[in-house]
Amino acid sequence: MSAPMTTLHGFVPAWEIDANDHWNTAFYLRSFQYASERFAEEAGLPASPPQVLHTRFFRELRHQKTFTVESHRIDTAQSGYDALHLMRDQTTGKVAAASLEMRAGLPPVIEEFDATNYAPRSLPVGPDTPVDATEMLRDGRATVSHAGVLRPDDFDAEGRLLSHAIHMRVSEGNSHLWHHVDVTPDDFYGRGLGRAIVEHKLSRHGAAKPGMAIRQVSYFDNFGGKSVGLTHQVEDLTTGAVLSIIRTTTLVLDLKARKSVALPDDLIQRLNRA
Amino acid sequence: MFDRLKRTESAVVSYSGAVKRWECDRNGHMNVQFYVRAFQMASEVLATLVLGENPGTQSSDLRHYRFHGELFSGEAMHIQSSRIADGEFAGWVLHRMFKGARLSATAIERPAYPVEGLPACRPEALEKALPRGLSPTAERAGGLSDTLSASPVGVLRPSELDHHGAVQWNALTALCSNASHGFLEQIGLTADWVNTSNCNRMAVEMSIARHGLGAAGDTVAIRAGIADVASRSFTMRMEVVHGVTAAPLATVEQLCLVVDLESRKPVMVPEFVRTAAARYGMGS
Repeated sequence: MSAPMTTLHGFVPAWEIDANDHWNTAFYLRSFQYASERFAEEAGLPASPPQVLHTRFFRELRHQKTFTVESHRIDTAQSGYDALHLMRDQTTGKVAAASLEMRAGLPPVIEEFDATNYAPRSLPVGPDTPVDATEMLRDGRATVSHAGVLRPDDFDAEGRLLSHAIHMRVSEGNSHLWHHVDVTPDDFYGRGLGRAIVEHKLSRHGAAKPGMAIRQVSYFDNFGGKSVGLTHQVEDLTTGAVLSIIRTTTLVLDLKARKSVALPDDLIQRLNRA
Repeated sequence: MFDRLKRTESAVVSYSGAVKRWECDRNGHMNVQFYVRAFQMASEVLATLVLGENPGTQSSDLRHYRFHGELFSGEAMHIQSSRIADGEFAGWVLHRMFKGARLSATAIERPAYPVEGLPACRPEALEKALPRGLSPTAERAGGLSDTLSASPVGVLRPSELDHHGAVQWNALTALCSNASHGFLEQIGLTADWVNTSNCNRMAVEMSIARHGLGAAGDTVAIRAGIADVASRSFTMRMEVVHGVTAAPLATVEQLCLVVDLESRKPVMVPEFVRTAAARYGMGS
């Protein structure tokens, strides 16, 4: 597989913007899935979601921004992943986000592309393994951050759960995980701090179907310094089978200086209590 | 049975989520259809755990809502559900939506699934969910004056259906918004009147009764009218029907206060609403 190809042209509409005026993370994932499927199709593979989508965020896209995604076959032995998708702000050409994917069956690399700048930084390469969260739920280290139902429009034409639909459960549950450790929005925003996801990994496991009732088990798995790691495991509510795992690294930001800062000690203590 | 959900002594947490910006109205509040969606998901979560499979929108055929505090973009909320053990609604399910510790909305539903395994609610928890100004007439289809015509409000799309092909409750609610805005404008509750009087309506209570399932491609029409008027509130009734056959799909009643937007207090219902009630009311 040779030269990079443009796999998506996109635009940020007003109705996909978050409370903080940024494009919601779910829609970056939707775009990367579109690009990934187009790339697979070009290689003669089915247009299906990749097993793992590992994304880093560099610059926020805001309302009305146009962007393109260019996709590259990369050296699997070197990076642990099979393809790289670069989302570029169409005006500046700068990379807003980059997503690595794991997909079997892509043709071999013909033209080398250096993916080093987009390599995972805080999360390990490859699919995450499901955990039995029973113990963590019992002792309060984890919580059920979301319960709900999967709807038909959460699925693609072949009945596979869409990446952005999976991420939307993180949007539903994120605040509940913070509340679980008694950290309120005011604990951040009240002292001029914010949070931004800088790295995100989606691993797919069991099959889901429309109408399935689900729960999401969430916990903090790494914190201290300037970032916090969160894990969200989506499960079939009836059987407990794991459908997907999303891990994120969230950076603590000084909103005025627009710089990353250390997580305040009192918040570390609250996270430690969980 | 409910072990996989969070629970309190007298409830299980049947839904938890957050308000997205695109779910909010111009005034920054979460639109009513998303309250309806959250309560429906709570109902289906419970039904799935009891039945082993999800009956979808048919988990209930009658639900009564009360709205206590608005939810805004970015806010987290969850629903606690219990069984109503005594009184007129014994055997029904109580859902209470909270924003933190604050009650945001309630719903009681007639379940189409067994509820014996659900914890019983405390009497004081039920108090703020009981019907206050709405009579249970929503349960019956029809009733509005035959002189009212049904307005076409749209076509059911596949994305608005559940996994059994029945229209979702929130989709019906969205269609009712089309009808209610048009009807109120028609009777004089116009944007100009809101700007001049600095008053507007505020729905505080709502009932939805399902009479049919609907199907993708169905055209939908709604007949709207005033079902009741009190000194400071009025009840709007919407009969949702198939656009061609007029087969009933749902009946929705909304109890609205007319509120002074500055003092946030209810005021007298304007005369034009009373006139409309006389012209377009129940059985007139």
